[in-house]
This record gives sequence, C-alpha cells and structure tokens, in this order.
Amino acid sequence: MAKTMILKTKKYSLHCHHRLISKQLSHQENLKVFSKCMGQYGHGHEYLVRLSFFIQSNDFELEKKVDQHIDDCLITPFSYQSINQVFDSIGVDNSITTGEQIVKIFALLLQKDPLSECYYKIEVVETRKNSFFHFFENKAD
Amino acid sequence: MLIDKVYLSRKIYFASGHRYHIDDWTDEKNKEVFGPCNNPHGHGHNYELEVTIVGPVDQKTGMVINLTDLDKILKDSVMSPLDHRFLNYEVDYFKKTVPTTENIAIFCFNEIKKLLPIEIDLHKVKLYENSDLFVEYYGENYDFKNKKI
Repeated sequence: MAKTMILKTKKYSLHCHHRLISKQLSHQENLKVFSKCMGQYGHGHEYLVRLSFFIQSNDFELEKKVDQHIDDCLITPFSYQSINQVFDSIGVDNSITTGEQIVKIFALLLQKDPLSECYYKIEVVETRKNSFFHFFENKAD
Repeated sequence: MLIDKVYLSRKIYFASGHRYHIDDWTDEKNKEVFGPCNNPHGHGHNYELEVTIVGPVDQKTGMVINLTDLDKILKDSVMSPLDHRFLNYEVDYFKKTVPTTENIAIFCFNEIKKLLPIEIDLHKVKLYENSDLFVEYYGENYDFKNKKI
C-alpha cells in the first residue's frame, strides 16, 4: 500500500516559571519595558508547544521518536522549572524569557538532532491571546 | 543556525453588526444570494481576530514588539473603528463594500499594516466570524508556492 506524507501537529504542555528582565537594561528601563512581567518573584504559565512535522501515514515509530525528542529536549529540562534558570544554565546570552526568545531557544535545541529534518513549525502558546512561532528550514520543503 | 526573526500572534475580540447588501442588485437578488444576512436590520457576531507579525527580536528586550505597543496599534486600527459598530453605516470602507468575513479581514490587514513599524511585517490576519467559519488573509500577491503559511 502506498504511503502518504502528511503534516501532523502534536501538542505538548509545559508548566514553567519565568520573570522578564534584561541584563542590558537598567532597573527603570526594565520596569518600563516589562512592567508587571518583571515582578520580583516572577510568575508562571502553562505553555503549550505545538510541533508540526512531516510523517508518512502509519509511521508510528517516527511519532514515538518525536515524542521522546520533545520530552528529552523540552519537557524534562523546562517543565516545572524556572525558564530563567534553565536559560542561564545552558548559557543563553542575556537570557530574557519572552515568548520570542523561548520559541527561538526551543527551536535551536530541537535542531541539534537530525530528527528535526522532518520538523516544519514550532509554536509556543503563552496565553490564550499570545503565541510565537518559528518555521524550521527542513529538507521536506 | 541563527534565528533572526520570530513570528508572533496576538488575538483580539470585537463585536459588530452588519448586513449583506449590494445596492446595484434588486431586492430579490440580494435576498436570493444573501438570505437572512440581507435582512434590513442586520445582525451581529463576536469576531475573533488573530494577527500574526514577523520581525527581528530586539537583543535588549527579547521582543519583536512590546505587546503594549501592539495592543495600541490594534486598538487604533481595528477596535476603535469596528467594535460595537454597525459596519455598513458607521465605517466608510463598508458603505460600498459588503462586510463579509473576507472583506473585514482585508480591511483589518490593510489598517494594521499602516500602523506597524517599518521593520515589522504583517504576516497574516485570521478572522473568525464564529467557531465554524474563519478566513485567513496574507496580503495582496502573497507567494503561496514559495512562502510559509
């Protein structure tokens, strides 16, 4: 039976803590830019990660590998953790934890594995009003 | 590999009244094409608009745009002219253009684009009329073959 390539999207959930603050800005500038998002003790979100990837129908092995990849790269290091601390520990420059930075770093972490060649898009949903996404440059294009 | 640009989506909600009617057509033809949407007193929807922009991430702030600034742009371009308005009578653009979901999306796209900073592109708008119906608009002449959607 011929196999058909489809674009599949899976949703993963990460509960994280963060605080928006830039090392390149003064305290007053940080307050002006980030306002309540730089509250002294930080705050948290339940981030949803939507990963879209190309897969042949009934390729259950690939789907399992993708789940494991997300678990290893994103869920285990980040869920129930402070994103600021994780960014610091992995050496992210000026580790601001805006949605823009989070989706960038998530994409960069995933791209280290050749499995990411089947990845098309990653979206990080921060709240019901905000989301951030990135398209992978993959060979499936 | 460097990632220099990020896509950001923001949702807003507005409620508007409208009526589908084309002046050049007879009443019978309007009724035939638009059905109850042609009723003279109009009707309303709770619209959900998802706006997606793309731009470089500022190294100091980690942002494509401050959401406070984006909200102000969306308020001035979409909320103020459309929210709690009867579109056919209160918005000049819709005095001659039928306020279908398609045309409202085009209006939103063009108005938002006018107010965005030059370094930020408007990627698309996605307008839900209700949970069963939405349209997406990427601007004129979008290269669907070679660009991402």
